Amino acid sequence: MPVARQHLVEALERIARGDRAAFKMLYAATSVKLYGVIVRILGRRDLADEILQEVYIRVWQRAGEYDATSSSPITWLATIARNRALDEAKRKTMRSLDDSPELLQVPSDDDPLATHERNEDARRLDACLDRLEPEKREVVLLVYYYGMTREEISNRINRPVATVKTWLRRSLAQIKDCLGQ
Amino acid sequence: MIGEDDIDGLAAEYVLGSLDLSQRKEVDRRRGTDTTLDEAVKAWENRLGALVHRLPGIEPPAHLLESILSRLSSQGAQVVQLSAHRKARVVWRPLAVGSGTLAACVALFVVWFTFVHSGPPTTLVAELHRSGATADESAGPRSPVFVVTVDLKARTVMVRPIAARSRPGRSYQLWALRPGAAAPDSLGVISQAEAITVSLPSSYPPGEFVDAALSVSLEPEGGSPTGRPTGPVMFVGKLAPAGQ
Repeated sequence: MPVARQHLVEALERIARGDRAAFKMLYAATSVKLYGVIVRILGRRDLADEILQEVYIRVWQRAGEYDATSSSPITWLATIARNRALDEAKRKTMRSLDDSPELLQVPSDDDPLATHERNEDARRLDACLDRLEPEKREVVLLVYYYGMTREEISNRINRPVATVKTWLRRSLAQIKDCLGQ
Repeated sequence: MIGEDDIDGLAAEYVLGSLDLSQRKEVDRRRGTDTTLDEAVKAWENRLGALVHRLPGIEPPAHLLESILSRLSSQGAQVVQLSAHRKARVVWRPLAVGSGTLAACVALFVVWFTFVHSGPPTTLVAELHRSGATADESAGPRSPVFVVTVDLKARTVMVRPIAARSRPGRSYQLWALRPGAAAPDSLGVISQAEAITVSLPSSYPPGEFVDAALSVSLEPEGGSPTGRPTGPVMFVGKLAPAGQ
C-alpha cells in the first residue's frame, strides 16, 4: 500500500495528540523529500541537517494547525520547510551552490511521494510552465528550487534587477491565468 | 516595495522565494493584519506546491531522527534552542556564475524535464505490517514496520525501517514472491535500524515486480543458510505502483 495522502493526514492528526509512532512514520515518509527541498535552497548540508531538525520539531508542535481542507499534507510540510530554509538562506544574500556541486546531481532513487502525488494539479502546473518562454521558465524554477533572489538571478542572466522582477511577476501572472484559479 | 498595489504579485514572489530577507520579514509581519495578503500567500502556496513533487529527494543522515526525537523529549512543546552546530560560523563564498555552475544547472533541468515528461511511473512501494502470526512488535496494528520502495528504472530497492524491533544475534531477510512464481526470491538481509538500498536481481524482468508479495523472515545472523526462508515470517506487504 502506498503512503497515501489520507495516511499522512491521519498521521498529522495523531501527532497533534502527541503520538510519537505517527511522528516516526511521517518522518520516514516525508524526510527524504523535505531534505531535498532544504538542501537545494541552503546549498549546504551541514546547515540543512539543523534546519531539517527544526522543521520536524515545528511539525510536532504545530500538527494541530494542519487543515486538510485547505492543503495537502506534503504541501503543508514543504511550506514549513521552504519558509524556514528561505529565511536562513537569505540571511546571507550571496552564496554559492559550487560549495556543494553534488547537490545539482539528481539522485536516481526517490521516495514514494514524488510519484504518488503526481496528480492532476501537478500535470496542470507542468502544462502551464511549458507555456512560458524557456528562459523565463528556467528563472521561475531556479528561484523556486534554489531560492535565488532577484539580485542573484540578475547576476546570473546579466539583466537588470527591474527586468527580473518584471519577468517574475509576468510569468507568475501567466501561470495563475493558465491554472484558472 | 511593500506599499505597492500588486498584492498578488508580492504574495507570488514571497512563495516563489525571490524576495530578500527584509522583504520576506515585512510580508510576514503584514500577513498578521492584512487578510488579503495572507489569503493570496496561501493560494500561491497551493498553486506552486505541485513543484515540490517533482523535486527528487535526498536521504538525510540517519542520525537526525534520533536527534529530533531526543529534542522533542527534552524540550516538549517549548521553544527549541538552536544547537551549537547551527551557531557555528558560516562562511559564504560569492555567488559564482562560472560555466561549471551553469552547465550543472542546464544538466539539472534536462534531467528535470525528462523526469517530468517521462512515461508511466517506475516506482513501486509497499508497507510491511506485522503478519498475523507475530504479535510482539511494539508498533501499533496500523503502523507499518518497514517501507519498501522499488525504483524499476534504477533497479534499486530501498528498505526503510520505521518501527522494527532490534533482534540481537538474528537477521531480518526480505523476500519477494512474484505472481506465478513457485518460491520467493531473496532481496537480501535488511537493517533493523537504518534505511538501506540494495540492487534488484538482474534476472528479474521489472514488470514482474508489480503486485509482488513481500515478506520479512527472522533468520540466523547473516541470513538464511538455504536460500529459502527458514524462520518465522514476521512482516508482510504487497508492492504496488506509487500513487495508486
